[in-house]
Amino acid sequence: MSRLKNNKSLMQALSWIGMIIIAFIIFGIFLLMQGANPLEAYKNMFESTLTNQIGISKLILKSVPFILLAVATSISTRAGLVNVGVEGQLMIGMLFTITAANFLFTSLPTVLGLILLAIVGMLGGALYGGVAGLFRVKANMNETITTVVMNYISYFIVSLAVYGYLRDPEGFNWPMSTQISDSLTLPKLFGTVNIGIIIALLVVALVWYFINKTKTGFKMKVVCGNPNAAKNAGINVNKVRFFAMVATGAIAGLAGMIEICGVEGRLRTTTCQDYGYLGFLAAWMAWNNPVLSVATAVIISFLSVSGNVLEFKNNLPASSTQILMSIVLLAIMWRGKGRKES
Amino acid sequence: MARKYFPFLETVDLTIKFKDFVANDAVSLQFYKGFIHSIVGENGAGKSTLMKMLYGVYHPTSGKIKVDNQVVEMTPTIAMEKGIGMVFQDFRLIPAFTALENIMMALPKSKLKLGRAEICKEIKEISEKYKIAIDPDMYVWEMDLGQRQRVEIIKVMMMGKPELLIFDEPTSVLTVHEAQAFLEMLVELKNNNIAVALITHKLNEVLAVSDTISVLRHGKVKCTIEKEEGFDKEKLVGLIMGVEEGEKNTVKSFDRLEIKEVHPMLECKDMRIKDEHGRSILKHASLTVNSGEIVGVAGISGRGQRELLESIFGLKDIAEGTIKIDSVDFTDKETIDRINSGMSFISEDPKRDNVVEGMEIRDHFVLAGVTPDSKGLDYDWKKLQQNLESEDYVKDLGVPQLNRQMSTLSGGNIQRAVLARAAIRRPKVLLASYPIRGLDIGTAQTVHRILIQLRNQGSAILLVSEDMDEIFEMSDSIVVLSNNSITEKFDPKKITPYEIGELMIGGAKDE
Repeated sequence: MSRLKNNKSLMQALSWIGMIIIAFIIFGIFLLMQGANPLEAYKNMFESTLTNQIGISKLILKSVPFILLAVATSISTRAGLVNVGVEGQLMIGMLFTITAANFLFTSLPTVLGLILLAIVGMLGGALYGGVAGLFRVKANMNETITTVVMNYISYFIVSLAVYGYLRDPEGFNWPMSTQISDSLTLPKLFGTVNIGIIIALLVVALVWYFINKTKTGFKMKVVCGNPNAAKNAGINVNKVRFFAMVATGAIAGLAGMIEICGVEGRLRTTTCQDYGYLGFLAAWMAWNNPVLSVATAVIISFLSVSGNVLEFKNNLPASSTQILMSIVLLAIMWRGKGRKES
Repeated sequence: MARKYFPFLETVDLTIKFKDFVANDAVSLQFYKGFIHSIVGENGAGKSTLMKMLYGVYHPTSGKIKVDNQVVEMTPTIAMEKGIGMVFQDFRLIPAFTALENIMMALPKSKLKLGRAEICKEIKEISEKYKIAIDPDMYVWEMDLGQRQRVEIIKVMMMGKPELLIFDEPTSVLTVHEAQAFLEMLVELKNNNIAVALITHKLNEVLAVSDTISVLRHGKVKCTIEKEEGFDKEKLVGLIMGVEEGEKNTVKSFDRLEIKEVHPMLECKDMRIKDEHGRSILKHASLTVNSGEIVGVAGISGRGQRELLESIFGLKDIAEGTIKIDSVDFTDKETIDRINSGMSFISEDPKRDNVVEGMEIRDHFVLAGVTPDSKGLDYDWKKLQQNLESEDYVKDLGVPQLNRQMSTLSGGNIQRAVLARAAIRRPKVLLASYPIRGLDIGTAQTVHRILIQLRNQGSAILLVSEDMDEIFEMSDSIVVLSNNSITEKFDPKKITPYEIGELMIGGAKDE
């Protein structure tokens, strides 16, 4: 029996990898049509990213937000919600972090300061996710639509802050915040890579454990599987859903804190734009399995890091990366069609 | 009666396998026009599978289906062309559409051309001719199961001129009067030279209308009896349950113990309950169920049975009135509080209300208040499984292996699991809605025995059913949903099913 099961999951993994290969073949055809040599292009992509420390560092750094945002999204999905809001929650998380870093905790020691900033960032994301959660449970508004709208609102809030109270007085009037103090930067592991990746993997493990091995995770599974059955079991469906929205927001907010304190150092109007959508895609590519979403997040990260090479080495338009990303995504979603997230 | 010519439809050594499991084994049966042929058997005997092959939903592994003496590769489209109509056990209706829209979707193009008004007229004609009342403009989601079935039947009858109509458990959700009317309709069909195939657990109905009865057991035809040979109910039960001849029937009588200390366990006072549209479906409704008492709730389907039970279980707020459990006011408390206080609810549609996709049977026990020990932040699943496996109720009811996925089980097996998990808790108050629906005779009797056992142990049981026999056999007292309220309690020994039926219809007049 168990061997059969293993074979089944092995088959699934193989077909998943197969779909990625097919995606690359399709993109190869596109490259040919553009007059580029696909083999050379792929070689450039891999070499630039995977054969040197700078490339690998970039890959890891960029994976971190995608991992966190994907895992965050999968929590909501497990409660039967389609929550696209990690984009906005990430924005608000960054906004809260930078505000606290520049106005409240400027002179705090590193460890205490970072812990407090993490809490503040999570609080920001949780609040923003919580609002969408309230819309859902109190007014029965569709969470997919409210979160998309709230994503746009978050851009405007960030702009308002960056053009306003956050603006760096020494920034030559550029719309950007003051740089955070060095003491509030995340410690480095090696090169430019900070401890964010470890935090992200810890969060993945925690979420996996939470979803699969706790009573609340069990309740979420019921709510996702059949809300009617959840009501009949005396489970407060709205409470579970609200909680899931808040938890998603908190993790997205944490991703924002890591970006500010680990990578960006300051907030611009365009900082991390679209990361949330890519994280959302990473979650759905991984069938909302938190562990698998590490892999999909790394793939998305690889595509966005290595894609730049196509632009300057193979003379391809900048949008080629996005085309490749869409093909990979569609291929995997095709494989997953009709499959329930489990 | 002599058979004329050859049968309209004939199966020859029909066999179907699902992996290693032989669901039907060399089944040879004949269906003649103008005759009613009943197929009886336990749950899982292969009745529904057989019918689905006749309708082309499943394809036989070996064997042939002949229509008008010609071999046919059956598919649903061909079945429709040949005039074979099937009323499925799980209705194929779309809840978001009205009855009329559902019927129109099933109609062939030629008929659709008639237009909405004409079709509506035809529905009304059929509905009057065969006394199957439906409201074409009502949405399916608003309907209870009885009403849904009536739509389904009319839908199938509208699809073309039927030659063979297959009914899968048609009367299980109908009231006594409706079932009677339904049987009359079957006879009407038969007189119009239509072949009727009838699958049902209700032997009385089978005996009343059948020309031929075939018993299916473990996928094989055990025997086929013609009316002329004479039907014998006792013998039929024995054949269905596999009791060898001469051996005594396994059914035990239910001993009702005298309960000494009786106190009200469930008290509902002066409730006003609204339906989905905000109309008061029950007004000034009061009801008391004592410990050790089974109160049967009779009524035409859709008169507030579902709303009543859902209100008592806390799934629905009541507009006025109070609900007390064991003398404690629970009116404003949540479902979970009621479960924890010892209330169990067997819903009218466990698939809709209880089954969670992707979860094992074991997990579903936890959902109904069977609380396992904690192990860290999780439940101790291993221990729960061991405990459940040793439970008598789980064994008695034949609940399938606990690690199987609940959503893959048949309706009857889901019902077994739902009943077992309710009984295990020895609930203070048990709300049971159609507890034996979809179960075979043997299991149904086990369920009734368990209900009596629970009653003897002091459970207060509210039993909702449209089966008069069940209500009268099981209840210590009977109430009727009528005139948008609940009647006083009647003693089943002092009132007749006919009088109860009158009361039920009294409620229908005031619509």
